[in-house]
Amino acid sequence: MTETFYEVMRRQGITRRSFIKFCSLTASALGLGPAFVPRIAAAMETKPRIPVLWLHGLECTCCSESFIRSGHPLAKDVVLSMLSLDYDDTIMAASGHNAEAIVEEIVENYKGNYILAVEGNPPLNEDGMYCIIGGKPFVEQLRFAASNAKAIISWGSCASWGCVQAAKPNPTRATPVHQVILDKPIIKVPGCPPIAEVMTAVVTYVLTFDKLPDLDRQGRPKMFYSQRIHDKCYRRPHFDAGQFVEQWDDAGARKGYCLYKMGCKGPTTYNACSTVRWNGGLSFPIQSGHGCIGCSEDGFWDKGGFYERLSGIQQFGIEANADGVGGTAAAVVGAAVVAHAAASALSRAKQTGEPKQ
Amino acid sequence: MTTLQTPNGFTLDDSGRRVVVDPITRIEGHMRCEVNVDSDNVIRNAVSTGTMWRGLEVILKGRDPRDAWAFTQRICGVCTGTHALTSVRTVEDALHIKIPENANSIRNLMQLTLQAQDHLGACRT
Repeated sequence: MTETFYEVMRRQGITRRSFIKFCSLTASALGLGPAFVPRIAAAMETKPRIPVLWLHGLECTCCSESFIRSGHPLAKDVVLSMLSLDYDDTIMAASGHNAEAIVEEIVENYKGNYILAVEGNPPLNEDGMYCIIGGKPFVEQLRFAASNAKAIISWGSCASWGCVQAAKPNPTRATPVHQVILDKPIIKVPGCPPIAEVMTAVVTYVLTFDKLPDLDRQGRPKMFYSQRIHDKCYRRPHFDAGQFVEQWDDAGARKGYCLYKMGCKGPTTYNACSTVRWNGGLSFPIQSGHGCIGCSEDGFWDKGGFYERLSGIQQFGIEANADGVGGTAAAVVGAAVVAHAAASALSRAKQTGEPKQ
Repeated sequence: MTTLQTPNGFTLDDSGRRVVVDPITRIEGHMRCEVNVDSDNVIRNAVSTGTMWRGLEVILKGRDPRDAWAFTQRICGVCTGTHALTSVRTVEDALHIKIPENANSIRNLMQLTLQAQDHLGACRT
């Protein structure tokens, strides 16, 4: 019989106390109340481990790197024990045809009962020849592995949106997973890479509740992608006060003022960086003094330079396609941001214009 | 014996026992290796092939040079910083920018931190 998560953890010497701690940590990370802790614990104690195929297409492995560096060491161990990670060509011991045989075995033996995690995306130009695995185009491996999958997790911006290889002119016609696999539930976890704790929490949720978390209209888990970086940014008060960094080496930069004028894409980027942060909650790009580049947003490579401020976002809407609606919404957000900044600056000017009491 | 020339100038043949390992695992990216082993079990010919191409060189053309590091960095998610720093240096060379000594020290620190994280971190896990 397949072991449960709990049995694996106990075998690895994790105490029950630590286990319960992990369950409550996960519940809070997922935005669930304390009432859910026993549910998570019960699920982990009784459910058998679910096989996971983790495929790599056109990608850079930064998603895997992020995942295995999850800040909470226990979370990483637990998640790795929870999954029966049967295929992941970056970390698996087998190689060559032995590795490929595993994919076939899982697809045949666990029909509808395994999860397909995809890092990277398939190129469709030249019949998929820009990414070959085991002598065959990656897109074929992807279609085959998806055929019996229960659900698909699109790790990172590559699998979710296309990312760097899909930036103009997209020479390989790199295509996100949801445009190739049309008949499976897909959960997108964008970011370049996504935050480790977000990745582990998504896996835990799927395994615990046996369903996908609540997704927004774009297919991202609401609990992590419903707020903009700007909404919870610790430099937000400087934005509201009209205090901006104007040069990389000015006094404002040293004082930690808002990076909006230096091209920060925080106001249009939906992600959890400003709350969850990185490396175990240590920091995130804005905290280290560089603007957000908006890496979890669709097509962020082609939305103007990383150091050009958002007011110049007329780039939105150059390409008219099915994403037009989303593009317009983003442009509206952008315009609102500009108005918002202008209003802040104006109120500041008013204040400074008043005679001192 | 039939031989075949690969686009980048290597010769594949079918002499002896041909061993193909594809995919090579535990690396970043995608790779195929094939070797020909003779009757004494000695490798007589070996060819390795990177089996992925994303065209970052093509994508970079016409971009703002200040953004180049971010694209180049995506070559590899394991040694990201190295690619980024190299790209920054390339842009500076092209534009004849001389950087102050402090900037160079900061870059050295970044590079060494990355190396420690990559090598020692990998040993731990």
